[in-house]
Order: sequence, then C-alpha cells, then structure tokens
Amino acid sequence: MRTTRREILSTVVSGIALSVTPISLLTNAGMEAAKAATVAPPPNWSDGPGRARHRIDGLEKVTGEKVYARDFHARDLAGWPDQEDVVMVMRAPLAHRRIEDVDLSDLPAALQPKARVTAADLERDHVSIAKVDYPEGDYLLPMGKVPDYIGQAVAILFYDDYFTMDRARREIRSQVQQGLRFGEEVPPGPETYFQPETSIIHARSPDPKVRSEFLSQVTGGPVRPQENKTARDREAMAWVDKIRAMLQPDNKDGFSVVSQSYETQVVDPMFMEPESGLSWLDRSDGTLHLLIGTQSPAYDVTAAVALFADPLCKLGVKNVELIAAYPGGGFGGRDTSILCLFLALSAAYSDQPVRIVYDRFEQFQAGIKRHASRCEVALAAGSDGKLRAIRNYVYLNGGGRRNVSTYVAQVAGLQATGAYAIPMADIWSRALRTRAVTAGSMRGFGSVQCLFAVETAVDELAQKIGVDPIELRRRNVLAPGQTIDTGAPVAPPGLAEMCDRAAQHRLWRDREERRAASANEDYAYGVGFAIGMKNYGTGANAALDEVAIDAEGRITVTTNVIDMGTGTATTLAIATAKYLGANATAVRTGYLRPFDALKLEASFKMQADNPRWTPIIYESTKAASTSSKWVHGVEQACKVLLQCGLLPAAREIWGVAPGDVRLADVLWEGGSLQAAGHEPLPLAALAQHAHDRGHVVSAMIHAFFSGRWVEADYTVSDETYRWQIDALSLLRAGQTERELVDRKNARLFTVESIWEGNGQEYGGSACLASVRVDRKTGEVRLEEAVHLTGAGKVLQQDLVEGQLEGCFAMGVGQALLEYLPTYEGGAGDGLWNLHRYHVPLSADVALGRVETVILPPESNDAPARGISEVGLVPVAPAIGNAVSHATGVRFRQLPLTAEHVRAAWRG
Amino acid sequence: MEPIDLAFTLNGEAISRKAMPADMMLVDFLREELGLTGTKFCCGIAVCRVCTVSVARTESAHQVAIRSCTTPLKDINGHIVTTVEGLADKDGLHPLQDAFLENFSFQCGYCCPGFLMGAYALLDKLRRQPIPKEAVDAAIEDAVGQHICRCTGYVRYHRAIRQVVLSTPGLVT
Repeated sequence: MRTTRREILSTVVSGIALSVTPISLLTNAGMEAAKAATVAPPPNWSDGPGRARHRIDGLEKVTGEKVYARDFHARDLAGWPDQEDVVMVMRAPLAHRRIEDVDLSDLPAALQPKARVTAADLERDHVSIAKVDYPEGDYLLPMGKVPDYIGQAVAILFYDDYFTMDRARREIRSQVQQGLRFGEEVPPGPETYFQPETSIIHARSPDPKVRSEFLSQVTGGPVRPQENKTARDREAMAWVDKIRAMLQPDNKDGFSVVSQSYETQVVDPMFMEPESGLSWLDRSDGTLHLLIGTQSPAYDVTAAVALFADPLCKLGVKNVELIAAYPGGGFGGRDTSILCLFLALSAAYSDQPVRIVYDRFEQFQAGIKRHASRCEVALAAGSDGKLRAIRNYVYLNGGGRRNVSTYVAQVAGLQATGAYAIPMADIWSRALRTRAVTAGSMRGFGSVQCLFAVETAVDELAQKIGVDPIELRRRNVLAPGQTIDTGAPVAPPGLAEMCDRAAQHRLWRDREERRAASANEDYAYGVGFAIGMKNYGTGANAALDEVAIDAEGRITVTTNVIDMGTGTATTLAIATAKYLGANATAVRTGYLRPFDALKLEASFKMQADNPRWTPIIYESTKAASTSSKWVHGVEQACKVLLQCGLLPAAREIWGVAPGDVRLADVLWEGGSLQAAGHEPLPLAALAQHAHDRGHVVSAMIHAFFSGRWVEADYTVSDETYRWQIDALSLLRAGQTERELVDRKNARLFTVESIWEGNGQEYGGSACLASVRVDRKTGEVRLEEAVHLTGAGKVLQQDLVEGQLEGCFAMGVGQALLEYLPTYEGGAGDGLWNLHRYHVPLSADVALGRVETVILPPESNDAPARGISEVGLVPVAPAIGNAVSHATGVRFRQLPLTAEHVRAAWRG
Repeated sequence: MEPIDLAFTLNGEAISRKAMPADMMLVDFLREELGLTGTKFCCGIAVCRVCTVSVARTESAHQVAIRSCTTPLKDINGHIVTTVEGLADKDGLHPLQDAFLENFSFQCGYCCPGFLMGAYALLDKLRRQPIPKEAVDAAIEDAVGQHICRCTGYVRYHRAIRQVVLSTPGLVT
C-alpha cells in the first residue's frame, strides 16, 4: 500500500506535538538511584598514558569471572537473602485470538508453579502503567482480551528453583496453546501510527542568496502539514506538490526518475547473553533492588518506581536501587527493555529475591527488534548527474508498544536523503503500531533501513542514466561542513575521498571484466558500492563523570554510561591521561547514585538563573556517544582536578605563586608534571601532597552538548576558571561532604536553540563488496570487501577496528542471512532460536578478505567520532548492489537469501 | 530416568554428587549447582557453541570440545572436564587467554569462554598431530568456525588463535 500526504488527509488523527520528556530521577522523591559493581583491572592492562594493552575489563571476561547479570544469584550479593524464586513470564504466541485464561492443566504436578500473577492482580493492587514507559497496552494481558501484539506477556509464574522452572517452560512451549486457553478469532485491527511523526520538507534554492525553505518540527513545524490547518501547512504542502511534480516520470524538467519501494526485515539484536536479572523487595525499608545488564539504568529505575506510584498501591515499594551488570552484548536491544518491569513486578509479589533468566526462545519472543521497514523512494537526477529531488516516505513497524519507535523514525528521517546534497526533499517518517513484536533501539537506529533504500535507489538511478554508480555518488556527496538537507548543520568530511578510494580500487576497476568472466562459471560475479552517514550522539547529549585520585595517585573514573562491549570502560580509563598524565586504574560504570551530589534539576524549559538546571540529566548508553561525549566529560573532570588539586599542590612544592605556573605552563612527561625551571613531580607525589594539604581530589561533572558544549565560569579557591561543563561538585581531601560550585556566565541552551541549532554530529562510511551468486541455488557468498570509515581522531586503534569489524559482520547478516516473519510465525510465537535464525559465522564474513580502512583524521583537532553505528549502514546496500550487478536483477527487499534470489533470478 | 551418582574431574578437582538427575545438562550443573558461571548459556540447543567445554575420557585421551547445553551429566560421568576456570594456573594465564587479551579479540566477552575452550581442544589436537603452517587457518575454522560471536566479526579471535598455534612449539610441522 502506498500513501501520499494528500491521500491520508481524511484519515489522520490529531497529532501530538513533538516532545521529549527528560528523565529526572531526582524529582522522584524518596527514590534511591543506582549503584554498580566495579571491575578492578589487572595492573598490566595499560600500555602507557593514553593507551591500552588490552581491555580494562578483559581479565574478568577472559577468565570467566561473574560480570554478567545471568551469572548472579541472590546468594552472591551482599545483604541479600540466599533463597530466591525463579520466575517465568508466560507470553501469548499470537494476537488474533482472545486469550481466555492461563491453563496449566496439562502440566505435570511437579511442574506447577507455586504462585502466579496475572493482570487481575495488577489491577487489584493499583499497579500503574509507567508514564516514562510510553503508556500503551498492558504489561500483563487481561483475560478475555486479544493481545495487543504477538508475544505480549500474560502471566508471571513463580518457582522454587531454576531446574523446575526450566523444565516447566520447555513443557509449556511444547504445547499447542502454550499453557493458555485461546478463545475466538478476532481479525487484527487497523494499523495506526505512533505519534509524533517526523516530517521534513526542504526546498533549497540554487541561488545561494535566496533563503532555503526548511519546514520540519525542529524549526517550528509543521509536523503534519497534510492536515492543511494553517498557512504554514499550506505553504509546506505547496512544496510537497512541487517536489512531487519534479518526481513524475514525465516531469517537465526532463529529470530521470527512479520511484520504487524498498523493504527490510525484522532483525533480532541477538546479543549473546539472553536477558536476565535479579530483583528483591526488601520490606524492612521498602527498597526494591534490581540487578540488570542494561543500557538504560536511569530508565529502568524510573519505570520501576512508576509502577508503584499510585497512592492506592500498597505493595510496599518506596525506593528503587539498581546494580548495572556488564551486558553480554547490547546493540540497543537493552535500551528501555521491558525486562526491568517484570523484575520489579515479580519482586513485589514475592517474599524473597526473584530471578528471571530468559532462554533464547524467550529472548526471541520478548526482546526488542530492529524495525521491519518499507521506504517509498522517488529520486530524480538531471542530465548532468546531479540529484535534484527526493521523496522518501519511511514506514517502520514498531510492533505493539511505542518504546522508542518515534525516535527511531526521527533518526531515519534525518538519514533519508543519504549522504547527498539534494535541493528538494520531502521526507516523512512514521512508526507503525501493529501486532508485531515490539521494535525499538538497535544499532543504526532507523539508518540501516533508510540507507538501504536510498543507496539502492541511487544505484538504480545511475544505471538508468548510464553513469558509473560511484561517479554519480561522487558528484552528489556532501562536502565537509556542508549543511545536510535534513537539517543538521555539518556534514562529515571524507565522503568524496571514500568514493575516490573505492573507484580506484581493483575491485571496482576490474568489476566488469570479472563479471563477464564469470559468465561461464557456476556463479555470477558482481561488485557493489554504497556510502552513508549516521549521526553519533543524539543532538542533545548529557554526560555524567567523576574523576577521583587517591593519595597514591590511583585514578578512579565513575560514570553513568555502561560498557556493552564497545570498550567504553577502557576508553574512559585512557581518557584521563590528557590532563592527569596517567590512565585510570579503575572505572565504575553504570552508576547513578553518586551523581545525586550535583543536585541537578531537569526540564526542557530553560531556567537561566537556576545553576542546578539542565535539559537532560541522565542518558542511556546509545548512539555511539562514548568516544565523543563521555570522554569529554572525563577530560573536563580531569582538567578540574589538575587545575584545582594537582597544580596547586605542585606550586606549593615548587614554591611559586599561583600566577607563576598556570595550566598552559605545564605538561606531563613520563608520569611526572613538568614546568620549565622546576623539578618534575611524579603523579603519586603530587597526589600525596594534594591529600596532605586538603586540595581537591575529586571532580564530578555534568556536561551537556548540542552542537557545542555548555560552558560556564566556576570559581574555586578564589580563582575563576571556564570549563565546558554545566555542573560541578568537588571533594577536598580530608572532607566527607562534597562542595557544589555554582556556574556563572553560562552559555546555555533553550529548547528552541537545541532544536534550531540541530546539534547533530555525523560520521561517514562506505563499503565496496564483491559477491558470487550461485547460479543453481541462488546462494550469495561474499568474496571480498573494502570498508571505509571516517573516524576522525582515533582514541584506541584496536577498539575502533574491532567496532568496524563487528559492524561489517552485522551488515552481512542484515543483507544475506537474518530473517524473522513480521507477524504470525515470527519471533513472537516463542519458537525461534538459532537453529533457524542465522547470524553470520566466520565463513560468512569473508574473513581475511576485508580491508578495513580508517581515513586519516582531517585535521589535528579532528573529533573522535562515534563509529559503532555508522560503520554498519553502507554494508547491506553495498552487498545488495553487488548482487544486482552480478545477476542483472534489482533486489529491493532484504534479506537476499538463496530462496529470495532464486525466486527472481535463474542464473 | 534413574538418578545417577555423579563422579567426574572438573578442572583437576574431583566432583561427586549422589542421586543427580541423569538428564541434567552440564551447563546447568556448572552454573546453577556449582556456581561456576564462566561457562555461558546462549541458545541452549547446541548451535552457538558459547557453552563449549573440553572433555577427555582419560588423562591421556584427546580433548574434545563439546556443547555443555546439550550434554547430560550421564555423558560426562567419569570423565575429565575442563572449563574456562581451569585454564589459568599458578604461573598465570593460558597463552590463549593472553592472546585474546592482547588482540582485543572479544568485546562484550560473553562468547569468549566458548572460543577459548574450542581453541584449547584444537591445541591438544595439534599437539598430537601437528599440521603444516598453510593448513592452520583451515584448522582454526574447523575448530571454532561454528562459534557465534555477535560483536566482533571474528577477525581478532582467529588472529589470536593463529598466533598461539604458530608460536607454540610442536603444533606446526
């Protein structure tokens, strides 16, 4: 089904204005925030200041220590009772019949649960739907209703031990109705759209003196111009009509046009550790304890609190504490996962700690997915090979719960013009509410889908107008710093260079010859190229970091960000070297509680006179933000520590006045602070002196970014400094109370300036891939590839390369292997596992035949770009274009399984 | 199925339990009963190989990489089992562990113990039957090619194993 803005005029529901609700833990009275375990690194992980010999968390992982949530029992945690319940969450395997009841009558007596909780219990006990959890649907389906989506939870079953629960869930899974009694069939309701939608209409004049028209919610709307309610709506729709006219096959401009629909499949993040966790409601003080391997500790805590917020709820939860374990993979799938809510509910109905350990079938059924998508793209180019207009209507299947789907649609919209300058653009990106398994955050966040569509369309257009596909791209890629047509101000560098490098590569140069040579082989050979961009960070990022130094000079970093394998802990540990001359010796990830000391107050409305105000306090770990945002936070905290703690100590030792040796006069060399004319001072000696004299030994900061960092003046010990942070708390040696330092002369943001400034930062990546397609079976085998990325400043080469290698493999899975039916027969039926969901193995990823190219930094002060998402986006379209080159058939639907290829091509 | 009296060697130590369910899976016994959580659970159906441990029939027998998620206790009774917790000794980490660290082989690390144990069995095989240098890549693929890692793209796992194979005397002809 295709829709246009004109066609849906009569069917739209009223829109909800775009709003982003900042999470404010500190406004939840009485709530205890999170804490987490510290990984103590081995002494030899460091490779000198600013470098790592191996991951700081490596020793624990390589020796099998308990670091993942699944490894822990209640008995492992200090202060928790030893005994625990083990819980199974029952789910509905369909959403087209009523669920009349839980029916465990076929379960042997030994496998019967000792207790169960259903929707009736939640209703009786006034359990709330958490507002922060996007209030759609029920956590547990009320009996007699049709599930909102396939895989919706129905009941919580309690067991005494893991073995009994595990046998019971296998038995239940083997039953036709999976422990439920199905009722009458009810046809699924109509698909609707989660609100808000993302609409971007851009009309750029060829005359640079004429102001471009840019209509989107980030510039005051309109959000739904098709409603035609205001003059602005009508103005927008006039542009829509003009763009549509340009994209007609018989357009008066003589443009060549490709107009097609492109589809991608549901993908499971398939992180290796199925979600697991512990919870315990300590009724002695009403504290609900959670242990989860999560990307979003602040969300988990806030959502859990909200469950019990109704004054009529007497389940006894007063506070929530969370321990964030190292996640066994994440890729977005552990960001705002519903697991925390089931842990919280289970604990509230048990007298002892509770443990949930999904098996892989349950993880497929319950876990967040990558949205299946359809992009309706029309793309026009002139005879000069310049792109002139694009329409990209993006449909992302969000499933039954909104989760973060509207944000995914928003980011998809930002990528909807690809890596190109296209003067006329009509972008409309929407998340559908359907009966599918809930989709949400997953690596790429809407970009994978959009880039597959755009990069396939560009390839088609090149073919149509007879221009080399890389050359067409080369003529249209954004220049460094150029405004992106979807609104962000600064395009990344390196896009043209990536095109050039690919065009000169032997894979591309020889591609026609090798393709022709394969005509007599049992395979068809082809080469494809794709290029893409992806924002890193969210355009409104908040980082929390504390850096402390003890009397022996050991540095500890504490942060709210977590490390899901990307190397965050290691990166933050080496980030201290810039200002402190040494790496951290410990990094505490996933902490929220200590940052209460900043006493921050969050709201999106600016409070210029309130030094405690900030737009966002806590963010989940997402959007490849660590290398740019949290590293900045750590560096700023180190700078504070140097200027207010170590430098004063050095001056005292050197016997100089404050004005005589300043920050610019010192440098670290060989672990010692040096200044001309003075003896070098080892870090340990400085730290000891700072501790002896009561100087600052801990700096805790909050930093906020939207295109630039908030910066402000801070006065410490009568000296005023300007730092790029918006909140500061210090601890002086010998003191137990921290000291808040109010900011002054701050360069803050208003809500409007955040939107209008559109502080998105971008990275670019490209992929050149060659394939062999079996003429009999249709099987696609990757032969070679070149994977290019503009990383900017590289903080730790091994970590960057590792991320790109992982991106590449995930792109191969997206292109060729991974598939889940969207609705019936898909992951929600509880019967999916790795026997039929195929993620890439080493033999699938052209091991040893992929060149990973990290472009040199464009300048000495190039930023460290987050590349763990952007590296993924060009891979699938490059492979798709290669298959089309090999077969001569254009494939517009992923994945390109042998069956799919064979159906369209007889080699 | 009748319960069994369990007696086997785990990481050099004798383990014995009376009247254990014969069909309890080894991974569950290790993790839930013994609290040895180094061996991980992922798919539970012997596909991903995250749960790989090494088993030998006797002290001198071949090390065989097996999937503990589908190996019932009755099948390892009397055998010698090595898990990731048994790799390091008083002298330090196993060379595979060192190589995995130095090559930044893993990211989230959840599949790391499975790769270690698969490679551990490979080293034992090569010790008994060395291979030409040019056959090393294929041998590594044969040993760990079915192991799933979602983070890394496998590059650095294979690189590290190759490094250990080539630097350990007696494995390559």
